[in-house]
Amino acid sequence: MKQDYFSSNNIKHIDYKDTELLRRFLTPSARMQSRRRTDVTSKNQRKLAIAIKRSRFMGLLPYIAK
Amino acid sequence: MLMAKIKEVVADPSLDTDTKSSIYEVGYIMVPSIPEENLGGEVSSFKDSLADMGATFISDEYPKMLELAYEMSRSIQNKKQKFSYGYFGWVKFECSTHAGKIIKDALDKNEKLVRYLMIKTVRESTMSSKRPYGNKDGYKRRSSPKAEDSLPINEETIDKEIEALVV
Repeated sequence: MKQDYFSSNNIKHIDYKDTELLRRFLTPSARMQSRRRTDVTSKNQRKLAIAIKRSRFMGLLPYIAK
Repeated sequence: MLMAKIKEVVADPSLDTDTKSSIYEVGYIMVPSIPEENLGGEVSSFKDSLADMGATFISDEYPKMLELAYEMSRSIQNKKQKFSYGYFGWVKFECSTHAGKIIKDALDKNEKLVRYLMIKTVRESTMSSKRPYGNKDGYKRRSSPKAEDSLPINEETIDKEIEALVV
């Protein structure tokens, strides 16, 4: 059964500074994982995508990792 | 009748965007050329400039030297410079939407900053507390065989069971 990580851990806001958490939803090449792999709700997937993009802009996460 | 209602709405001070306050968070990367001993002064002057523009502070984090995930460039004094390190810090404050625009313009001109990000946020902390990796099902699966192992083992009963299997 699918389980949303954010709902099950009662996380309402996804912070772009929380890189340890965001890294869990990236592939080894630093690409965002699809909803099929992350198993989060569409609403949280959108929030996650925004947080990852903000974190990349601030240089906390890479756009691409070799 | 309709015009009177429109006038009422326009005159309503609660709907005025200039006086409506919001919670903002500014994440910033300061240039690494600032010496560690002068960083405190730079941060306090940065925060003072925000306070002068009408910001009421809620929370903040002191900047820390950080290796950036990729090289960033910024033109300072008409000279393009590249940065691989920087002091990353953030500050959360409340101000009016009008003051927010003024702060944004001031941050654009600040040459001590490599990059900044100004976002609307909520008053409470958005950082999640650290949790162990793995989901609940994983822990259940791991804990169940341990519970069986912890039961006291009687050698006689094992011998009997082995004999029964052999026969």
